[in-house]
Amino acid sequence: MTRTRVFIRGVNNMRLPLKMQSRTRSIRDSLYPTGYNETEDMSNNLQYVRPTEDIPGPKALPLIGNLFRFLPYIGEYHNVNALTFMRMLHDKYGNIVKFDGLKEQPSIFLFCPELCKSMYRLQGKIPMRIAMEPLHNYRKSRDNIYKGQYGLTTSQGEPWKNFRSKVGPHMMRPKIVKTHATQIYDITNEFVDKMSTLRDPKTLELPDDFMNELYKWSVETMCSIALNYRMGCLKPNLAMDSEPQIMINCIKEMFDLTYQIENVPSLLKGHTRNYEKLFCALDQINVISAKYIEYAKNNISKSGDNTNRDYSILEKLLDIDEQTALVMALDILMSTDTTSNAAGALLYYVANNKEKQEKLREEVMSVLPEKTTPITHDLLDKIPYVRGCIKECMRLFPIANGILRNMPKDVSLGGYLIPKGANVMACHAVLSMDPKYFVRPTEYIPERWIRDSPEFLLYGSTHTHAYMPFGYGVRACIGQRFAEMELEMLLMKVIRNFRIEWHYGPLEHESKIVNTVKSPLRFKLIDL
Amino acid sequence: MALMRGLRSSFVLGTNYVYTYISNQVVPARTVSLMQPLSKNKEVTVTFVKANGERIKAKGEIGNSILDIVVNNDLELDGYGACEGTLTCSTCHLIFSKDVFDKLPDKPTEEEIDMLDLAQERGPTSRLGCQIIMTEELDGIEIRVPATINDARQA
Repeated sequence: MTRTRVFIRGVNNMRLPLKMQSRTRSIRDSLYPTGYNETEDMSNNLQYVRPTEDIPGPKALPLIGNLFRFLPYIGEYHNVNALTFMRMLHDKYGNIVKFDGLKEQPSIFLFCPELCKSMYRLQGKIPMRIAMEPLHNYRKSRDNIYKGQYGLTTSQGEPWKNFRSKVGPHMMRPKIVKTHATQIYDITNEFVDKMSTLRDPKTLELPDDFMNELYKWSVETMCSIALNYRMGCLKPNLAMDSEPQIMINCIKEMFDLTYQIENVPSLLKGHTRNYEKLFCALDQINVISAKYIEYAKNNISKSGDNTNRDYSILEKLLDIDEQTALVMALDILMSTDTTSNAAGALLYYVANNKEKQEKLREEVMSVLPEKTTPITHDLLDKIPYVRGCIKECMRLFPIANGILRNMPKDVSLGGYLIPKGANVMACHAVLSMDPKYFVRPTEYIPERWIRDSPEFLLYGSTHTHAYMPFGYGVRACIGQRFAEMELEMLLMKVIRNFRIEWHYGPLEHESKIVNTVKSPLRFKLIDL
Repeated sequence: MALMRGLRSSFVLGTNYVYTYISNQVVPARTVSLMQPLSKNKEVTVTFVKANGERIKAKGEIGNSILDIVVNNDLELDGYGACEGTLTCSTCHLIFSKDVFDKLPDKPTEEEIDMLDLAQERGPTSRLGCQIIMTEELDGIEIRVPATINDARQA
C-alpha cells in the first residue's frame, strides 16, 4: 500500500513540469488576447509581475549550476546544436524559458511571437546586444587599429549609436543600396559563368566543395561594394594559400572559435588555447583586409572626381569619418559567411522543388528575355516570386537562430520580471517552423509571401512577428539589403542559365552562432 | 508684390542650384544623398494629430520627408523615426485620410510594406513618414499619429 502511494506520488511529480507548462500557457493566453482592439498595454506593468525565479526552465544545481547538463553521458544537452537545444527547451518548458549559467546574467528564451514583439518594444532607443565578447576583447586589445571604435557587432550605447547613424543610410536606404546593383551584377554574372565550368563534364554536377565557391563569390562581392576593388577570388584554381582563401578560412574559424569560447559551456573556464587561435585568425583577417583597404584608398585618389563612376562604401564614409570608414570596411569583409550559406540553402530549396522552380523561371524569363540581359536595379522591383523564394528559404533555413537583446532596465515579459541586463533571445528559428504560425511548415511554399496570391491567405504567417530573419528595429542586421540583393541576382542568373537539380537526401546543417550548410552542394546544372 | 516674390524666388532658386551643383562635385557623399535639391525650397505645412487630440502644426519644405519635418522642427513625438529613415523599424508610422493617401506621390515599396506589417494599429491608409516626400499638392495636410508608435518610448 505505502509502496503504491510512493509510486503515485512519483508519477505525480513527474507530471509536474507538464502541469506547469500548461499553466504558463494559460497565463500567456489570458495576458495576450490576439485582438487589435486593446488600447491599454499592460505588458510592462511591473506591479503585478511574478518573480524571475518562477520562469520555467531547467533548475540549476548549487555550485555547478546547469553545466552538468552539457556533459557527456549524463547531460541531456551534450553535443546538441544550438537550434536543437532551443527546440528542446521549447518542447519541455513552454513559451518562455529561463536558463541560468550560460552567461553571467540569466538567459531568457522566447518562443512566442507576441513576447518577441514586446521584447522589440522594450529594447530601448539604443538597443543592447552583448554577444561575441571574444571578438570585442580582441578589438580592445588591438587599439592601434580600432582606436576606440569597435564596430557595430560588439559596441554598445552612445558609441554604437553614433557609428550606426553614420553608416546606416549607406547600408540600408534602398535607394542608395540600389546604386551598387551593377557591381553585384557583374560579379554574379562572372560567377554563374564560372559555375558551368566547375561542373563535372559527365554528370554535370558541381564539385563537393561548391560551398567554398559560394564563399568566394560573397567575399568578392562584398569587397567590391565596400572597397570598389576586385580581389580576384573568382580566378580559376585559386591557391589554398592565396590571400582570399586564407581570409575565407579565417572567417569560418572565427565563428567556430567564438562559439566554442562563448557558447559551449565547459568546466574549464580558461579557454586560453582557443583564445590564442582566435586572435591569430582575426589578426590574419585584419592584415589582409588592411592591405586591400590600402589599395582601395590609392585607387580613390587616382580616379579623382568623375560623377558617373560607382562610389564604394569606404569612399562615401571616408568623407564622414576616416576611422568609421575603416572599421566598417573591416566589418563588411568579415560578414561574408552568412550570405554564402543562405545562397547555398536557397539553391538547394529551388533545386529540390521542381514545380516552384518552373514558376520561378517563368517570372525570371519575363524580365530577362535573353541570357545576356543585364539585371538592373529597376528589374529588382518586378520580381515578387524571386523575393518570395528567398524569404521562404530564410524561413526554412534561417542563418541566425534568434535575435538577442539585453534589457536596458527591469521589465516585464509574459508576466514575469526580467531583470536589467538579462539576455533575452527571440528564437525566430524555432517560430518560423512552428505549425501554429505557418501552415504546412516544412514545405517550401514561396507563394505564402506574395501578398496578392491566394496562397498568401492560406499559408501566410499568422503572426507578424513570428518570422524575422534579420531582426527588427534600430539594431536590425545592417547587411540585410545587400544580402537580399546578392541573393536575388544570383538566383535570377542561375535560374535563367540552368535547370538546377538535386539528387541527394535532405540538406544537413550545422548550427552554431550562425547556421551553416554541411552537406556537399552537388547540384546538377543542365544548360537551358 | 506677387510678381516681386516670384522674381525673388527664381533668383534664390538659381543661386541654390549652382550651390548644389558645386557641392555635388566636391563632396561625393552628396551624390547619393536622399536630400532633394535645395532648389525646391518652397514652404509647406503639415498638421500632426496625436492620439490625445493634440494638434501640432509644423513647417517644412517641398522635398523634405515627413520624418525630416519632425526632426527639423524638434517635434515632441517621442521615439518617432528611431531608425533614421533606413526602413528597419516602423516608429514613423502615420495614418492618412483616404483622399490624402491616394494623392501620395509614390506607392509603398516592398521594404516599406514589410515594415508596415509590423506597425501597431496599422490601417489601410497607413504609411511610414520617412518615405513620404512632401510635394506642393500635399501642403496643409493633416496626419494622424498612432498612439503606439512607441517601439522605443517605454524604455
